[in-house]
Amino acid sequence: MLGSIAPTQSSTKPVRVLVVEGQALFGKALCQVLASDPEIEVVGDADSIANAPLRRLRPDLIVLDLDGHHMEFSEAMRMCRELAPQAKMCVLSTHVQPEVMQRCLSAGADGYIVKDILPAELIRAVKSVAGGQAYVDPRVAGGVLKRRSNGFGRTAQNELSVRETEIIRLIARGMSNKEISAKLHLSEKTVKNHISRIFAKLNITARTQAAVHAIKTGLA
Amino acid sequence: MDSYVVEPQSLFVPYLSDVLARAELRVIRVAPTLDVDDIQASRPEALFVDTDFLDVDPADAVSAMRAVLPRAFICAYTDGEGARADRLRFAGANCVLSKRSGPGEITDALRTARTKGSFTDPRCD
Repeated sequence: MLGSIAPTQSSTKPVRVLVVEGQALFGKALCQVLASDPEIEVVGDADSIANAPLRRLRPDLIVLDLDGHHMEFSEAMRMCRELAPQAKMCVLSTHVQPEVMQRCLSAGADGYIVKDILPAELIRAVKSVAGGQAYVDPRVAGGVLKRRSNGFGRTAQNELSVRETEIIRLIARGMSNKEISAKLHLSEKTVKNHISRIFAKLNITARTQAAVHAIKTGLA
Repeated sequence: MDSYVVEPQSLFVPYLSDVLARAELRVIRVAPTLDVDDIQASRPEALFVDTDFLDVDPADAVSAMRAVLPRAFICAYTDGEGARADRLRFAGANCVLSKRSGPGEITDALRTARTKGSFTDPRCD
């Protein structure tokens, strides 16, 4: 179900939420907003999945920042699934591009929230996902429907991963490999490997072509 | 100091305002995007800008702020490092703050920048 809100949990037991957010202040703000609802219990917060005591806290739901973690998003999702198999996953992102959201859902996310969400809507989204429903920012869901109606899309094999999408956006912003590696906390070698895969998937040979692709497809 | 905040993440603003208040920066206006005319009209003593969500180059944004408010205290809040932080400083930011900073670090950094004239979080260097 895209872009819609389901009824919230009827149980009186509060939803145990863990916030994983690389931007420290924003993470605290999220905790404050979520804790303001009596049906939500914030059991902890961490700046990365690696630092989150998932087994000990046993959250019902993890709010996971897409942009701030220091590992491949799919790897972060795998860790969450392994260490907290009971937890629903709600991704928090700055991206409104449907491609990014689709890749997050493909990686196993149950919800996709854009960071400019209003507090009341955030609470509704978290409760909706905790109640077993999917939640996607309505703006992004609208983009998906538009793409589908236009028949737009490549084969899954050629689709860029979440990390590759992040990197091509940074290429489009004119950043060097060194700057990208610093921004994403990756080694330059890893960045180069990602770029090689991007080139292969898009059948291109130059960064300028990658930048043009990113702009044309709304990634930048 | 009367302060103007450029921050599109609205749910973050109340918490951020509390943290800024602890560093004696009183938020008088918040805008989700850069609006230089509105900044000029508001005449704040301090500007706090989240540089990662701007539609324009962050250093250009700081330059534009500096141009309309030459004596304002400008704080750039960024996930960037190295050359990007240098550009923010050269553009006129008095304080470059890392998004990895906790509330206490933010208030300490702002106080240091105001006392010494400038501050850059070591994580941004």
